[in-house]
Amino acid sequence: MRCALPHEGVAVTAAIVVFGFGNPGRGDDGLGPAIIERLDDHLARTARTAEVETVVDFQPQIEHAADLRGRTLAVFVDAGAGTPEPFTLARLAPSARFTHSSHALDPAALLHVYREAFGAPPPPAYLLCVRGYGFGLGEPIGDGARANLATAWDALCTLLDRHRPNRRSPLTVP
Amino acid sequence: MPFDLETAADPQRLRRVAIDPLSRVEGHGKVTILLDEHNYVHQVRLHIVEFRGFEKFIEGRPYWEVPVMVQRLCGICPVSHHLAASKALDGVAGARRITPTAQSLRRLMHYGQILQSHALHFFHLASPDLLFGFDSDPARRNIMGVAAAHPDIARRGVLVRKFGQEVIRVTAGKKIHGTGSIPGGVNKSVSSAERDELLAGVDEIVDWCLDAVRLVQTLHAQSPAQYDAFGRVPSKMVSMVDPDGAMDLYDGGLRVRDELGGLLHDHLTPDAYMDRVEEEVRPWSYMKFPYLRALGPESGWYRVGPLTRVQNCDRIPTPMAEAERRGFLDHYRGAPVHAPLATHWARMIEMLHAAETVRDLLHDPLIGGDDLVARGEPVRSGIGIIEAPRGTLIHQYRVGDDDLVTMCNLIVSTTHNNQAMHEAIREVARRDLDGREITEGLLNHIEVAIRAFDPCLSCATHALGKMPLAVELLDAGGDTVDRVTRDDRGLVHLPAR
Repeated sequence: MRCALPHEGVAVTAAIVVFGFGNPGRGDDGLGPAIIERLDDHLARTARTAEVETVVDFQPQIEHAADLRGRTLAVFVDAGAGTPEPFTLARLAPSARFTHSSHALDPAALLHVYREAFGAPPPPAYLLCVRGYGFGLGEPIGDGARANLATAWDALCTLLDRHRPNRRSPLTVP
Repeated sequence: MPFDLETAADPQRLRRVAIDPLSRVEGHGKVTILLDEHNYVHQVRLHIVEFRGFEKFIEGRPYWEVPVMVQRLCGICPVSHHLAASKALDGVAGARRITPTAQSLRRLMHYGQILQSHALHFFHLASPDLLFGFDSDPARRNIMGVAAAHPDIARRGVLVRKFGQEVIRVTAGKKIHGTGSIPGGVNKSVSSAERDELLAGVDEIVDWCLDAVRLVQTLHAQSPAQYDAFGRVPSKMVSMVDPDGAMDLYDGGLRVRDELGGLLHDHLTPDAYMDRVEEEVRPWSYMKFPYLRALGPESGWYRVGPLTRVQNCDRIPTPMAEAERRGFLDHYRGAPVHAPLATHWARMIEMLHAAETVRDLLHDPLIGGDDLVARGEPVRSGIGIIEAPRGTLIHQYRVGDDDLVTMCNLIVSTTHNNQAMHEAIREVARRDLDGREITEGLLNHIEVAIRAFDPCLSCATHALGKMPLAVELLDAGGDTVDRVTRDDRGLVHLPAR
């Protein structure tokens, strides 16, 4: 991953950024990091790490606004509780919505903070919300959530393919 | 009960107001307030469900897994738990003293953590109250409002936090569930490329941290009476200092001062401190109430965190932060400072100190060294103490001959501050709520006092679609008689009158 320094002139190495949010120690909350792990493996095997930068964290935080600088696409992957199965994929717009009970921001709020703080429109952004069921401490990702993740993976690859700066070959491989 | 407003004499006849969940704090907590028919306050309690059962989760695990496992406690300051556990278990790995290289790398990781956590708290959580006012429009009183009205402040907050996270990443290996610190030392050093990349930005970070101190000073100057009186309750103070009495957030002995600044204990070792502290259980709270055993629960409670640390130490060992610390003390003419809102000033001084320390360590050749792990004769138990962003954090373990953990005891910063937070919100309730009609803005006064301590109530589970806020008034039978809600746009819906 790139080291994002405070000065503005920092070079961005990848046009696309994919965030995976969640706590791997909390059952299905680890869906976001799990899909990033799979994506990292895939990018490494296909020599495409320069195209897509991945960011894993427990939850969206204000500093992730800095990760949006210079991108042509941002994708946020997160586990959802009580959200539609197996996943939802939605285009995001900046929103002043804020979360009440945590240090975290939601992704639309992050886009809003980016726009206001950096004075530029954020890149096109999507939220891939994968349905989870159990969030117990120390539990692994459950079978149902893993099945949802497998379906969501295809959608993520399709989305990334559509936005590749150089579309000579698809991201997905046979 | 010894504490005023802890337990009402006749709760059956009182109305109950609940602030549930508390906003802009980490994790889930609530405040309940009992009022009589004239809105006079009779009881105020902060309820937190925190870390229940986590110690049992650790017991039975191999000790070398613990520094990684404990990061599951919290999504906000996992590095503090990572390092406290490592320190507690160094001896179990046979390292009575870790190598100088490991010491420098752990310090770099820790001060990166202080930097990012303090930045997040001030810019994201506290600054909306301070910049716009406690009673301002709640739809604006958040980081989005700050970004719109003060984009430069918001942008700097984002980038200071980002820089601290990058320091953590290069020292811990990754941002979540890092593995850089292990019992006995560390498992990686910092490469020249990593060091150079961080060095390229660190001067600007230091400058911005100094500006943040100036910003808080300006806010204090604009409203000194409010900043110095709001929620003020004198308390004893506990924090770590180095052998010379200077601030040290990674290692040292514990210093205890009384409410007037007099020295009660100095340079206590972790073992000696644990012999002097007791944790009281109260039936209405899941969180314990620590106190100094010799003084008893009524008098022996204390406060930890930035406000304590800048006063407890004799000096800060970096020049810019020390100059600011002296300015802080001069402002209060050397008298002990117990005003919760002064914590923001102290926190920014510490953030500056953390930035200076990171810069110094980036120039330290030891961080590129390869003498990473110390070995020796192992022991079977240990206590690790660290000054986490919110205050003193204690990890204690015992390990069996099979190397499995047999006992785990954690006293986190928020627990140390339990009584102090209660006293602060009771003082706010007395001054600001007593006899007045309850509004969202007044209830935010209670939250402002709690936020000053930056409590971490986190269970670290984050999932979409679970962020409600409602304030309910219930009668003595528990039936809702009034309800105020704040929707996902931050709009407050008051009940029809």
